[in-house]
Amino acid sequence: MHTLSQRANTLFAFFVTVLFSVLGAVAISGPLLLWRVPKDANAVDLSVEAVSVKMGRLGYYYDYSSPATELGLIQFNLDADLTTLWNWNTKQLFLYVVAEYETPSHNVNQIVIWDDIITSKEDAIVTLRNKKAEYVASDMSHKLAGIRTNLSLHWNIVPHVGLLMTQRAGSAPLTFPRASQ
Amino acid sequence: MLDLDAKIDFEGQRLSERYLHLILTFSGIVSFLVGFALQSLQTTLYILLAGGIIASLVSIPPWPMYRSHPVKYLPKIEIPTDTDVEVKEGQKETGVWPVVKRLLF
Repeated sequence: MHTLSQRANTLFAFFVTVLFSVLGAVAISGPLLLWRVPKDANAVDLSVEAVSVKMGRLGYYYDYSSPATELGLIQFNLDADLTTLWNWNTKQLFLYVVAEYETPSHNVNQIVIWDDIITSKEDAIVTLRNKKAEYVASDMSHKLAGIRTNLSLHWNIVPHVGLLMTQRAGSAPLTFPRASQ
Repeated sequence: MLDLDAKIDFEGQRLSERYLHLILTFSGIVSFLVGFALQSLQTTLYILLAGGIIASLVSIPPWPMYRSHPVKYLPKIEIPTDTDVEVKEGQKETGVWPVVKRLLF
């Protein structure tokens, strides 16, 4: 501590200690604030507007090495108020609508059909009407018709500091129809 | 003009370390509380940064207050040498031993 550089070194080391202590407290405060939010506070209303299945090819259409596949096209409505998820440690929300279903060969199948990134509290009220799915649904068996699925809204709470959390809400049943030509 | 290479005394070292601990700890607590109250992480980081700058200004340069307790050394002791002191035979003592004896007893 008797020279300038030693004092600078001591100060920097202690500054980093304080900085990480504060950031640790911030990281803990985020989940605590979210824990106080009632479970039903996030009003999520998800419904299916239309669904159709058509034959197509994933990837390049004229690439005949990939087989013809049943592609599910979904249109849905979404009302979600996620402003309660916003606190000082929320950097952004990553929303995604997932279609979940079971097949005889696989117990859990999940298809993301739509996603969005919300970066401010003002944008956290989401209203979508007759929204076309961003991504077509397809199964690795190349067959979709007759599969009963359930749509739900999932979201990741991306914090500035700390652990990312995943939550879900909403439910909308959906059955893929026969493929139309 | 402040001589940045100046060395501060022991009391000054204790003081400057205490100041930097106090300022940084205080700014850390205040930054969390204010940021939490305003729900603004930006405020937290700016208060921390301000605390860091204030702490560096207070405790890094060798301010005169850190040099106000200079170490007082013992007065210089002349060691008698053979040339200017006549030592009687039988009780001849040389080297540092007479000095140590004078300091201890």
